[in-house]
Amino acid sequence: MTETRAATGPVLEVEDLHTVIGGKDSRLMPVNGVSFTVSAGETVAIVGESGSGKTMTALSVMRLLPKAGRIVDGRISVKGRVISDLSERDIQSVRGVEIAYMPQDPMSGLNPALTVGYQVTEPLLVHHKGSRQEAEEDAVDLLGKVGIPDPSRTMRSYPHQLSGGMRQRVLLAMCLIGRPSILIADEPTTAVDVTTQEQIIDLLASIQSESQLGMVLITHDLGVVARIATTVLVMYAGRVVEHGSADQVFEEPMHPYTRGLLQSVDFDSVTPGTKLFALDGAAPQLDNLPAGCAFHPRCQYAEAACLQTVPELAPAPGGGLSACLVAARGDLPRWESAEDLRSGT
Amino acid sequence: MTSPPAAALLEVDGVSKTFNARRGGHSRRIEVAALNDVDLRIEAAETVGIVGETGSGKSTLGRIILGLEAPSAGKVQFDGQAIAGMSRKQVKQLRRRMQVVFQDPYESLNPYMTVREILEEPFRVHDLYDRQTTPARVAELLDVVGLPRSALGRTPLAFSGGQQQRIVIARSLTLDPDLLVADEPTASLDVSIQAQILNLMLDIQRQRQMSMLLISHNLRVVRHMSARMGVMYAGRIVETGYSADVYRSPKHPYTTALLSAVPVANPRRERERHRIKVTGEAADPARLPSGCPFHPRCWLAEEQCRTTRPALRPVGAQGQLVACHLAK
Repeated sequence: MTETRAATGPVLEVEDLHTVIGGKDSRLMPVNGVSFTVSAGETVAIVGESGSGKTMTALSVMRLLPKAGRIVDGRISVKGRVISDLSERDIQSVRGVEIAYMPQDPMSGLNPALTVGYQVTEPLLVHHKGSRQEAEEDAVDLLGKVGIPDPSRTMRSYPHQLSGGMRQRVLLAMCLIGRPSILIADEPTTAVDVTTQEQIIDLLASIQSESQLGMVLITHDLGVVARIATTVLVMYAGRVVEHGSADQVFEEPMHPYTRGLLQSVDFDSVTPGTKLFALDGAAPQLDNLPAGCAFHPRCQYAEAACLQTVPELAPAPGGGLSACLVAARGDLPRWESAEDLRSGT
Repeated sequence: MTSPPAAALLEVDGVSKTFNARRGGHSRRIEVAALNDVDLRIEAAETVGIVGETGSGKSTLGRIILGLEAPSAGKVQFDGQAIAGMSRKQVKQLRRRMQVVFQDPYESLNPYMTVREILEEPFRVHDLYDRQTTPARVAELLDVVGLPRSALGRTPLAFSGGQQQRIVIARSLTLDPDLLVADEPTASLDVSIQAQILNLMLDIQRQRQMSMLLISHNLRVVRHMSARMGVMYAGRIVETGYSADVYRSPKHPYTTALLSAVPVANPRRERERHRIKVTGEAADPARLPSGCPFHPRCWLAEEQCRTTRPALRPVGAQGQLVACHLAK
């Protein structure tokens, strides 16, 4: 039954999610009205800088929030089943089974005192899916699939005996062994070298298309997003400020923050040794958000209304959704990508 | 005998560094060749970049240049003077002229000191503190790095990562150094902040005509900031030259791979781009392969690459040197 649903509807639906950190009166809201859906075979990237709420969004979906955190509003459904109000006990039948989370730091995701084999088979054994021997066969098979050269030997290794890239692969195997429909990968490439990063991205992409996983990719690296994402959410100060297809967001970004981010890493259209485009200032602290649009103090297009009104995420002229008053009016200047500038159009 | 070329501000000559380490809990000691026969020149007012991945030796090179680590072989000369064998007093003098900015500003700043104390400390350490002039110098440094005067009374924790890195940069400039070593100065910062800090460093370098060694894993950052660059792999410089040449027309397969691995922030160009995929991971300096250290990952490798270590030789543009048997 669930299989047919998965083929027709999204595997993950997040609706108007609000998460608060702190006590009753806390106004710290790292996730403030976030909505998105993920279909089978789709990769949704959540992009943002530190403190933007991207990891808190993932942890809310996983129900792995730190003790002080709680979901105060919104709904999360997996294959049509609402999971946001499940008890801690019931959520365990979803977590690691339907939906897996790959944390940023492979060393913190792995237990240094346990063998790779123990850790990769654990999700199966915990959920009573088959015997130990079957689990071990599955694990060896999967370790080979994620690119571990000698899987049987690696089963007996400890995490510290592996390189960063290999640990990342073990972690991925651990996430995949329960055959989840959704994988949330949190900065999967931040802790590894550039050449390894490329291998990990290619691996994620191939596994995803093969098994029709719905993937949520959390990252600050716009290059990685450009390579594998189908849909992009840009977060700033707890809110989604832009939401669209990867092609639209990169070709015709409709929020000034997205534009600023793209420009600050655009080395190719700047003469070496000259000034890069840089956004002024820094992202605000959540306990000290500016009035109106949280981005207005850094925005070159800000006008009086931006200081008063928090802009809603709304369809923008360039396609996609943007939370910007200026964009909604169609008054953002046309975006000239690096390529346009080079070809002189 | 012809007269030697005029000395550069910094000359690194055939520097190697071997560490003794224990691996895997065994008492057997192994040798880790972190750096192998590295040459590097930095002229006055020049920025040279070093790019490399984990274990490439780029940070060890920086530490040796700063005198924080002694080379196992070879020598480092600063302004014509060999650093090895210097007296303590001379080393202290030298420290005034070379400063460092590390990756993590938070780790570099004492959380219990105010910004004023942090910026005044170098003057005190070098007996240069002057009640009349120092406070004015400190205030001026805040202007240079774009922090408000009100920062003086606060401690590092009151600042964001980008602002903390500005404090570290201000401190590195207190004694007007001739050389700044920046080891991954923006790696721990958000992308919108990275551009700010790079712009600041460009400004400072120009205005003060300071020399800079920029160490980074990010080839684009290095290319943007430096006139010349070196690419390191497994403790060696495998390619060096003018940054424009190395970036536009890399000759070492590793440089090509590194360049290809960095994704472009544009899905259309990403799909169209021809990519070179290397297998495996960066060589472990404790277990270096025979011959060319890159050969196990190189798609062009031949028999000689497995047996004979390639030396740097001129290939490509003027000044471009490449350690590859096959580079043309």
